[in-house]
Amino acid sequence: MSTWFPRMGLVAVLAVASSARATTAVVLTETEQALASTAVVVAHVTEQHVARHPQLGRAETLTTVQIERVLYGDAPDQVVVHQLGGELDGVLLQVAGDAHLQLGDRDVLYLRQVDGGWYLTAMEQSAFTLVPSLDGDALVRQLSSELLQRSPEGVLVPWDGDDASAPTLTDLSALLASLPAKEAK
Amino acid sequence: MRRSALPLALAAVLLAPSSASAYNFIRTCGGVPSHWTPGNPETVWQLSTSYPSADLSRSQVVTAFTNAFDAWSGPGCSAFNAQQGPDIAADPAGTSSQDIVGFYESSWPSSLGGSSTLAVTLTSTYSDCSVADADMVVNGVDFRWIVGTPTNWNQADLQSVITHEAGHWVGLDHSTHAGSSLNASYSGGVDERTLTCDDSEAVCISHPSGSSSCRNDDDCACGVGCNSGTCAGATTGTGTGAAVCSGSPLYGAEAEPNDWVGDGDLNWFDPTTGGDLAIDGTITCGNDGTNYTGDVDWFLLDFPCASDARFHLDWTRSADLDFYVWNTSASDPYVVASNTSNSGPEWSNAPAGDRVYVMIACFSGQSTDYTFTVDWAPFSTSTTGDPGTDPGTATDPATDPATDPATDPATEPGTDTTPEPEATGCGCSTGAAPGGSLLGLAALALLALRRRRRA
Repeated sequence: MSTWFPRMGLVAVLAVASSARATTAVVLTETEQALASTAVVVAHVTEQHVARHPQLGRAETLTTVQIERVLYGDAPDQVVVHQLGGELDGVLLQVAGDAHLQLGDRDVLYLRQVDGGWYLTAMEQSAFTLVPSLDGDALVRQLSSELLQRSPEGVLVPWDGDDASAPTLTDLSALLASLPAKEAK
Repeated sequence: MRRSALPLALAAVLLAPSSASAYNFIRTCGGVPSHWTPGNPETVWQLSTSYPSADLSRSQVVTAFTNAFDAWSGPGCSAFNAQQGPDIAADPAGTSSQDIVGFYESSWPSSLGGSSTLAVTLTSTYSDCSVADADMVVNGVDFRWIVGTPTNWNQADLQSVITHEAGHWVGLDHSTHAGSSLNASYSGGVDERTLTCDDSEAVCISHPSGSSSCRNDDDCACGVGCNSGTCAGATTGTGTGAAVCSGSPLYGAEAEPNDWVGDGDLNWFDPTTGGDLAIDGTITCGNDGTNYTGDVDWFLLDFPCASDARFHLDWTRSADLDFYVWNTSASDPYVVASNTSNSGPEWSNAPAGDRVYVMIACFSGQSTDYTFTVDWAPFSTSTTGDPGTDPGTATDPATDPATDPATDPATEPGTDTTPEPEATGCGCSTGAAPGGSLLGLAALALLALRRRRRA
């Protein structure tokens, strides 16, 4: 199949285990993530700072993203994504398995709004950087978590890394367009 | 008694991870990895009475956590020592600096990934990379925690998952060594309660004891065996690393099926061949003086195990075949076999596990049939025709951190030390990863496409 090989490369990127922190989580498909999200967006990371979490007292990174396009659900033009972690008073808090949003990046983000705050739906699984490729904008993400999937036998088993049903932004847009529209809250 | 930090610094310098090692530290500071300040114990963990498990008794939880932390103290070379302190009424995710573990049973925080997350470790470090605080929260809202082998998708063995999370508590990051407790290795059973050689190597670098005592190969650095209770010499086949290389593959495919014959091309872990993998193919040759212009065969291989292996390529006719092997975390191949010989075999010993990509190409000569083998230790594959090289050390480009296997002809198992044009011209072997492994792999993907079009 003529398009299989470049997609293999994209799968490789999706499955890379690199320098991000790790945790233990079940892999969500694009559809599962979208349905669990308030919105799926294309966004630019424009500002980032660390503050103290008002309840937990720990470092919290607040990342402002400018929404370029809403692929699914509903979101305002700009949101602030809350993530535990960051450096405060000389101590660096690292939360296993969370995404590292980088200033200047153009990302696809699965976002969930809870009690007025915006969060990544499934930590590092929910943040894809858009990288130009011969197939269009490729979706790449760093996955370092202990990722599991549900087996046909009914137990959690290691993720096989083969979830690239939407390896490009075009593919993802088409997939999300096929989902039922989110009900307005 | 507090120990000097000098051994840690020395270990960090002397035992810096080789390119073959898969572990990472959550942070490094001037070459010193994240670590607990030496002490006895290094860390005292406390069970939260405010956040108990709804599924397991206190004693079951204590046993699981104790065993999980003890796993990281097990290798003789590890000085890491965790002890349980008094229970405490506090939120593990709250600011405390008291190293708390607990279960969220009523709601799981939005900032910790929602219902897909089983457990998270929060680790805080000072600017010198010493750990200031570590805490662990377990998702009891969406998962049922058990002791033993799960029978339902929302169940998990607490000790297996906590052993993994305790690695982050120790100060380690994700490992790409298949089967490692810090790899995506939770099999739904209880196998992940024990460490692998990669886990041991990592904790012994960040928390060195100075001892080399061991119980089995898993207590030693990968590629080193436990002989007479001491980590030294060749692997002995004890431990988990050597015994699991059999069974069905997780996945395998020829990435460029231009000479695909059929399933017979992939002789997956045939027990009659000692659990090795053999791929048969045919290839045409060509070059433009720099690049391969003939057939280029790619294979994507997912191994169900991790062990030392011999990558071995042999062919039947007069031709100059080469092969390269990548793992998923680097843009440069970690195995390069590209000498200029017109006859096989070419081979190289290196760790194999998890997912690798293999590229086989022919620079010049006649079209030929070939057999590519991944031969698990102890090796049975012949090295006849590849003279005079120690197969266990000098031929392994992945174990020498000072050597760039992509550009150094000395890493080639053959005796020819003259760099061959294609070694620098195929594009797979020159330069550093552009912007780190993620972009490196993106570049690799695009590069592979270009190669395919050439072919």
